Amino acid sequence: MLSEFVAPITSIVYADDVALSATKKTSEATIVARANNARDSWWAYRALTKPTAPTVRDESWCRNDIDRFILARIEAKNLQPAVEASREVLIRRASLDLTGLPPTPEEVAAFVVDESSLAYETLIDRLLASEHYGEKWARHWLDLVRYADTNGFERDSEKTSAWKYRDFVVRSFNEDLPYAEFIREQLAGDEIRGRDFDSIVATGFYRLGLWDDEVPDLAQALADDMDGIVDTTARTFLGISLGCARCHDHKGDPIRQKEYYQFAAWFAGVAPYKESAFNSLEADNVLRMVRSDFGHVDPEVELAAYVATRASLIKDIRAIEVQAGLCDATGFPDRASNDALVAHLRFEDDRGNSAANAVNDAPAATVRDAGFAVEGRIGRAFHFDGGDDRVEIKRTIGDDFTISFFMRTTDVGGGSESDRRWFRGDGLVDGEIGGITRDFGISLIANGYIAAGAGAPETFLTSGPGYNDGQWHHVALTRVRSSGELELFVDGMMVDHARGSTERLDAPKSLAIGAMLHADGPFSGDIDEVRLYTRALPATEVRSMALGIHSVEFARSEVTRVLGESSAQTLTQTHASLDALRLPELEGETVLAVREKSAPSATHIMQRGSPHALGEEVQPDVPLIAARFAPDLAVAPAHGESSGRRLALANWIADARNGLTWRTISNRLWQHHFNEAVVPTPNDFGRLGEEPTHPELVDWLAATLIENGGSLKAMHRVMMTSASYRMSSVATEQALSLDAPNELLTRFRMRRLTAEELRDSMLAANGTLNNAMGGPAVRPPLPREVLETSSRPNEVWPLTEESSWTRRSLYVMLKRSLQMPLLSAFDLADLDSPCPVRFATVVPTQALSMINGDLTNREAALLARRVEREFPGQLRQQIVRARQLTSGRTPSGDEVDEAIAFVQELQNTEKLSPEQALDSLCLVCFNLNEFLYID
Amino acid sequence: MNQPPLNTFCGQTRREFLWQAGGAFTSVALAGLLSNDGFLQQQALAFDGTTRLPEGMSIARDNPMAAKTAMLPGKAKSVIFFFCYGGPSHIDTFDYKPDLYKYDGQTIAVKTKGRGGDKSEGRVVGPKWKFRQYGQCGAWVSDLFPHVAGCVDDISFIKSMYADSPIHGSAMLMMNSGKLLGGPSIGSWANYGLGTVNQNLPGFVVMLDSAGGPISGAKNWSSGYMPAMYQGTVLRGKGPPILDLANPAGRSDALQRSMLDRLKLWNTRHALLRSGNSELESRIESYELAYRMQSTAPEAVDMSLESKETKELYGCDQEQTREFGEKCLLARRLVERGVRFVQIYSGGGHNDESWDAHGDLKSNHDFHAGRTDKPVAGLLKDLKRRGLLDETLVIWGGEFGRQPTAEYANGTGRDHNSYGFTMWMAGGGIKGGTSIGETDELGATGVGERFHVKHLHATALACLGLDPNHLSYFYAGLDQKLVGVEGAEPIRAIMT
Repeated sequence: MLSEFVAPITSIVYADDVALSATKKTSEATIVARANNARDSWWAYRALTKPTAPTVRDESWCRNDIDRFILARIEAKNLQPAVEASREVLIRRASLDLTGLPPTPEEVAAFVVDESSLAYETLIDRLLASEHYGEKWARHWLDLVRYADTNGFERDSEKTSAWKYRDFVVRSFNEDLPYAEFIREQLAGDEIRGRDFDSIVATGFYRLGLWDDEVPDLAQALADDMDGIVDTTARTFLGISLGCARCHDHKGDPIRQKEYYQFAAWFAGVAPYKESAFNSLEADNVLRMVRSDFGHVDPEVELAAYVATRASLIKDIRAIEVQAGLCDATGFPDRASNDALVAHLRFEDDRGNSAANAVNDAPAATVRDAGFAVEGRIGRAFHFDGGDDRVEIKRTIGDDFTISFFMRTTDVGGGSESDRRWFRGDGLVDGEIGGITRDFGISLIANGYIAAGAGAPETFLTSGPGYNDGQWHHVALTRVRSSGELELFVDGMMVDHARGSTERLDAPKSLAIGAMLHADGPFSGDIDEVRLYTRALPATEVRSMALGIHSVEFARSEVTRVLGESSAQTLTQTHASLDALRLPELEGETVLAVREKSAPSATHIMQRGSPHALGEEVQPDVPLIAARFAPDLAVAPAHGESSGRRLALANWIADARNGLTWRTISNRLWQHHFNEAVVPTPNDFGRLGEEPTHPELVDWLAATLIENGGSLKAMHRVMMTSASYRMSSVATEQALSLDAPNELLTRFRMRRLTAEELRDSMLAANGTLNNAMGGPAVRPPLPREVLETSSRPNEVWPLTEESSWTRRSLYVMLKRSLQMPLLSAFDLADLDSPCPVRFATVVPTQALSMINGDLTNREAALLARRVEREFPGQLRQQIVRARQLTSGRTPSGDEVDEAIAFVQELQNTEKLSPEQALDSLCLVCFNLNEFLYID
Repeated sequence: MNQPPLNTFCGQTRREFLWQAGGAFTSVALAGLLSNDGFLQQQALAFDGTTRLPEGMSIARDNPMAAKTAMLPGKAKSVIFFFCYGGPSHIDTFDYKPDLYKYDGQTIAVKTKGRGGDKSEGRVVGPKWKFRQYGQCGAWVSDLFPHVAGCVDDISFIKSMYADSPIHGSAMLMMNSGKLLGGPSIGSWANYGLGTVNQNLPGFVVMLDSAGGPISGAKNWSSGYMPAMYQGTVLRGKGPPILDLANPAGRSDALQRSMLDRLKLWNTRHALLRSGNSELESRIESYELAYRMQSTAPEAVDMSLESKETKELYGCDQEQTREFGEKCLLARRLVERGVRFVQIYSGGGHNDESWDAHGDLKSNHDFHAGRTDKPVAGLLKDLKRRGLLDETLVIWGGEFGRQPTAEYANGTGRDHNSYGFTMWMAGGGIKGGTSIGETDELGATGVGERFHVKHLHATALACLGLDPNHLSYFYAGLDQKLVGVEGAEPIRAIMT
């Protein structure tokens, strides 16, 4: 039945490239025919249906269908499955498999005596409900997506907020996010309906790879980055080794090179790292600011509500003030403070060719071109025609200051919406000097943004758009030198703040009004009442100035006198409400995420994989071997920020009709419970991979997962409650001779602890494990010898706070150029490429680090201290406890006697103190295979 | 190209191979312990899920790190690679450009690409040292390397080297792994292909400069997607040579032995109840091996066993050359003991701590050459007089060379140059007293027959008797090779 596909494609296997390119021209039709055929013939590509479990002779052994698939093959060889493992073995196996942590001795004891018929099922449910479950299973996922906390190469800098992606994965497992959603959020979390903070964070998936910020060949670097995305996506979600078709047609499967690029085209909208000076790239495009309540609240609605509430409160205050005769209906006279006022340009000259300074003895401003006076916010104002008009005044501020003025315009403004740095705009009040220096200013940017900023270090603030509406608006910028804090106000509302330089801002000699200081950026519109203060005005004063309402302290007595106490009380309360009103959080926090270009770029085939030899342009499509149905392309999101291509792909991958997807994840779940996957090559279901040992079992698992709505927890339950999972790992003589490789699963497969489990189990055993979840990666101390392998031994690994040193290994920083030696010795995943199955090596250097290393010796001593503390003076109990904490098993009396003898012998012959002898015993416990391996 | 490998796959099925190779991979250096049992089968397939037969290799049945028969007749058994990190200037060392002196200070049109981007003209910096001819072959060597100059009849220069990157990070990874993004390093490939004859020492040893590691640190000697047993082990000249080799302070050997005996007893009892899982036995044995390493490794690095004359030959008696001289002497002791691949870094950290002479070329290269010239020459001479040079391949060079023009308006500093630079090889499999390839009159770029980093790698593998186009490791659906999937031929003209 597999004839056509299984027949070796000899012409393209191991042929050299010349032969290959010749073959490609003549055999494209053949490859297409083979792909079409493979879709119905190759086990992995066939339509997914739920197979019926086989009948078995010993039905009584079976707890669910999994057991029938397993037992049928065992029985076919006239073998029997192993007996059920002991309770002590089962709870340790299940705890480590689900949480990565050993059970406590108390948990073991309780489970062993639990007589309930559902004791085991209850145990599984308890472990699945543990938050540690997500921590354990996230690690399996992170191996696949080549998660690391740094970028690699010369600087090997930290990937900003990569840990939020890691925490998203932990949360997703813990919340049992349906697998289809888990796929959709990572591939298109910014495009799905109902997107939220988590789904944006999930798209950090695209940003996890190696990233060189100084590249020899930009096109090559971008192509390599794309290859990481294409290959990781195809392998992780589909089990297709698509990366093999980057340079030429696939050597094992009927996949044309073209199909690799068609798949890449799904990601053609993803903005890559941003080009910068020389050979360098910047991280701009890979970061986004996202509010934690993103998607649940519409910021525009929220903002509109804020504006309306504020307007109504102001109206109420003004009504009282008008009634009390404090001002007219427009809010005047103006009662701005004169405290620390160093300049006040009122622009009252009716010819508009001089600008007197209303502050006594202060220098007057110079009018550089004739303006003309118009009706102002108060009295007259100065009109700037967008040409040479400008007013200049000596800069008398530089430490703490406030700049305040009114402006009115219908002009579009300078710069562009995508670059709202103040020095790109049209000058309002400005002192910009070229280069990075101690300057500052305020300008109008395209579409009516008010922008402000300061230099050295460059600091930028910006309002929202739309202030070019032909109405008067008040603008104020305040600065506190000691903290560097800058606050930008429009119409009395703080619209942005930032922390900048704490130096005196003294670069410009004067300030330009109505233009940028350096003569560009002419403003077209009116400006009035420019005030400079040598203090940072508090928000209430800015508000009074902007709106013409008085401070409550000022107004209260007059209101009381004219209108009485009750009105005064209303006034006070209304002011209080106004003070309490907060502008909605607009920006949010930085996350590593996908961001799209304005439109997807064209995708071309790269001949021989070279970005410098572009061939035919291709459109997004899915590999023919997997194309049982077509992706729905009409899913572009309404927000218009992206093309919808990734969503189309995500929907196609997550579709229940896509058998590959569900087979792939089911196989991975099996892999981590049974310690070898049914398909032993979990990232390659094609011809270069291994075929499944139990082909129908894969389909049964996949179909069952779909029936369960993609709930991974449901599948853990199904697998772990099977009789197959509960088997003992002890082999019978018969099984050893007839099923030596344990292909039939005649007994459970033992496994070694993973690197993380090993360290975490030591910390759990001695009671120092810090269970805090999530957050930035931690850096516990490393041996000096290891730091010295870095080109920056003293800066490469700054320690995090001491309490973090015993956090779970999941949270230890994964730095591409430097790793914790114990973790890398025990086969941590390679961080640069997808790792579907970890190595499990046995090398003498592991023994060295376990017996001589600082880490194990320290943890062993802490274990000794723990048992001494718990059982002071009772050596027998201390030893029992140490063995329980490390093996999950209560040692026999003989074993304990032997251990006591050992401890005493060390004291007698090696002259160790009782404490030191116990340290040595605890170190032996950590080195026992009983600790390192799971039965 | 594509010659058939001499040793083939002996008709095993791929699954059989996986079982053996994979099983063996889990248990380095434990020859004879492994048998066809269930636990191994699991590991065979589990170690990466896709690995299969390295084409054309014969693999020892039981132990992947055991010495293996080479694929082709090779001369070298070991490699010592001097990595001059930062990029030594070829035109100030071994690539004599007489015209360059007279252009000194003139601004001329020349295309360069370095840290500072692409440039089309620059101010020439004339070479800062005199060149003289040496040996029967008459090779030109600058006054930076008077001692190495005395060995030129054993050396073959490759003067038209080029690389894909003029940026340290990616260029370092390329010189070590053949790929800009990194991967298994050349030392890993050599051990993967040949194993090691001394199970008590690591097969791939790296010695770093006292200034620190190179950029990317351990990634330069990583085994990438191969198992960690193939990665380089950092060996230190002072204190315990290998991390965690020494007993913790205050633990006597007798105590260590008591603990190991107790461990063995209890672990053996545990394994008895789990017959068929020989990984457990392997791990028991790994502690014995570790214990043997504890005594073997210190002996290997014990300089007190060397004569005064030998130490002087390497410059161990002089302050300037002591550090590097000791490393060179150590390298000889290691290859004598069967270590397959030794990499010694000259330069570490950043800027002038390495050969990265952006500012003052003179002081930078005087410093680094002054520390290494005599030791490198001492090693070549010592290997030769002991009859070891014929079976030891010595490689010298950096990740790239340097530009003929100045980087800044003032000063002698040169930016990076990956368009043309020099590396040299000597010893096992190499025809001494030869030179191949050349750069243009300025030394700005290779002209005529140019040699890529992968050709250097191919030559090194071929000297070891490994066919660079068939030494492959199946990963991610491809037969990965050090020289890339498209392959590369060794530079036969410089090989014996």
